[in-house]
Amino acid sequence: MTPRLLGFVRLLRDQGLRVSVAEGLEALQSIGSIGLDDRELLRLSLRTVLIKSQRDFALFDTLFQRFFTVPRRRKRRRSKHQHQSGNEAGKRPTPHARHNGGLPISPPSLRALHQPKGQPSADSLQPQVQEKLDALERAWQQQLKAPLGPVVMQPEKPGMQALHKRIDRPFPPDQLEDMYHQVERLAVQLLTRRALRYRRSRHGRVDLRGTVLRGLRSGTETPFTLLRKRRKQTKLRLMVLCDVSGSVWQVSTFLLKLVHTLQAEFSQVRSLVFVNSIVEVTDLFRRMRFPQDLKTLRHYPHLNLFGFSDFGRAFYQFYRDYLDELTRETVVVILGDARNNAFDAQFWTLEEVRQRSRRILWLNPEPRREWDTGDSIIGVYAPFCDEVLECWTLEHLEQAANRLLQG
Amino acid sequence: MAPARPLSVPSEAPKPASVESVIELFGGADYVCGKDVATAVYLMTQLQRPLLIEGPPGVGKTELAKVLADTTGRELIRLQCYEGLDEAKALYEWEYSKQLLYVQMLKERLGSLLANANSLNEAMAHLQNQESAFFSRHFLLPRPLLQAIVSPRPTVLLIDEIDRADQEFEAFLLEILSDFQVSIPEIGTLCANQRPHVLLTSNATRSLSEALKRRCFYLYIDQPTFDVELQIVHRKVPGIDHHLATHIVQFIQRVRKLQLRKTPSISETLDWALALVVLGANVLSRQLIVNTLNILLKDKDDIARVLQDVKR
Repeated sequence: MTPRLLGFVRLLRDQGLRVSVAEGLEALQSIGSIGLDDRELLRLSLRTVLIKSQRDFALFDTLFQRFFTVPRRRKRRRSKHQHQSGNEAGKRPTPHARHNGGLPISPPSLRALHQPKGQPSADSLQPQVQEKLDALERAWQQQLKAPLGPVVMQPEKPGMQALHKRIDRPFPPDQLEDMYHQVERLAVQLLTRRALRYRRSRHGRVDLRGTVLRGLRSGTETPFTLLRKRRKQTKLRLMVLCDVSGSVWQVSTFLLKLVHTLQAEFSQVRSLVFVNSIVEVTDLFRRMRFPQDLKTLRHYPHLNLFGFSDFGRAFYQFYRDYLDELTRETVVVILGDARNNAFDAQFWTLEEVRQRSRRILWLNPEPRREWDTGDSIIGVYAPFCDEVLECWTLEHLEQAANRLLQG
Repeated sequence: MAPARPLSVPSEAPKPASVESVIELFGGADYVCGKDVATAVYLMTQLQRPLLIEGPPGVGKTELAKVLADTTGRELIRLQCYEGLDEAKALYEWEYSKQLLYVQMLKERLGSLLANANSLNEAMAHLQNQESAFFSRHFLLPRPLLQAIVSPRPTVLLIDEIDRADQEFEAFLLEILSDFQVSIPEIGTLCANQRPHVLLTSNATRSLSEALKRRCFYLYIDQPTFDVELQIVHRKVPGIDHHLATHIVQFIQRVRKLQLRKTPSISETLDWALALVVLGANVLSRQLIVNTLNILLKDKDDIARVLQDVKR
């Protein structure tokens, strides 16, 4: 069974499921304790041991079905075979399996179970059966190689997979509101986490002076309550620079929403949006209701939402008008896909901005594999940023926000 | 050749002998479970691995741990996770006040102990000899994780809603889950006499780390099917009329298909069924649904949505 199971594990890995060596071993152990008599049980236990996410169940089941099933031969070939070996071929080409009471595994794997690899098997099996088994093995190999049909993925459970949902494409209006709710919930979570950190930061080093004083004050010499030193947490200033052209509009609004919910955690938040020239929308976002008021942005003066993104020009304007606003506490967050439509990149402006600010964080709403393809020039800007992160799911957004709060 | 030593000391607590016996055992404790649940439980007890259970809230993840503890005669130790949970709350803490209190009470004894010391150094040496008295297990406040490890009885350790804890805590758990020993600097290493059965539950509000998942077996409990849910209602609400139960479950199954913010789970079904029995209902009339829907659904929009559906 071992080589067969390893083959199955490899098949899972080929299909992109992560299975570690240890998990493979556990699978083997689990077979040891449940046996091979029940195919359904085998499926369930392998799934329990090897698959660690409900999302992958469908794929696993398909692969299991394919791997642990006796291949059915095509009619044409079967009749030919029947002709060759007489009646014995029978209707089902699985004499061995039938003999064993319909074993849950394919005959080849059964053979591997009984005989270690490399040992001659012809002694115990009749040559005809052997030949048939070989044919089966070939058919089975072919079955494995056949392209996978579309695997029906599990329907998304509300709340369960929201974190992994792509957010870089437009949502239907009814879902949109929900998404903003989710973003808000995320922000609130981050806030509580941060509040707790702050409270916990009192669990730092013992404040000896304070402890002794408190003890004296209470009249006993014994300091019954320990006082801890409080760690100081500095508040940052935030400068958010968002591309709002069609392709990244959705993620930008999510980010702006998130940032403005977190407003209290920063000493200042300023938001600028741009397509080909920048417009400050700090005030607008501060009292905006989502998603109803987003429409106002569409008609905002100087903001040509339907123009071509020009990062170079936007950065130059930023450099010209906002450089003096930057301090050592300012974190600059840029959100954009860096698809510059072949305009001048003006990357030197970013270097200047970086010199004046604490950090530059670039969020790219495209999956990493699409970076630097087409007119994307993220690679040109990246050296001037302290960090460049992907940002196309809520989870990414959360990570980014976490990074921001860490300062 | 010496016989190979077994990898783990066989525990005294009984283990289910097969997947069927798990179903049977759990059935005896009024926990209706499918083959998938039974397989996972069977494997985790056999191979002594932690089991990570995911699923929507209210499908009986926590209940599973309770039933496992009951049926295998183990003690249930529960660690409820929350944001900001740290080692001191999960593993152990020194009882600082108790230590101080003892020092106060033993002051005179200490004075006499140190009286015949000639120098400060000597006095220190005397005191250091007594150090272990102050850092002994008497002053140790064991929290759930340590309780599970030092308990003389076999235990089931339930780590509830692990997704609520911070990621640092998750990393810390890994250490415990892999070898079930804790080193306390002042005392030494404490090992588990009995390897606890560990169950972790998660509502998947955030994705758990790969490292943690690798070390656990995985079970996903979904909302029950019609048959299973009907069985559960009959078990948990004794004396319910069969027709009423059927109608309730049918209705709930339909409600679950609607796009709701919070789909009613099995625990809400049971609450509702119980309420209807208390109200003395025999049939599920439209008026009754309208009047009692707030037991089933806790969201204003959801209620409106379902009412709309009922009217049709």
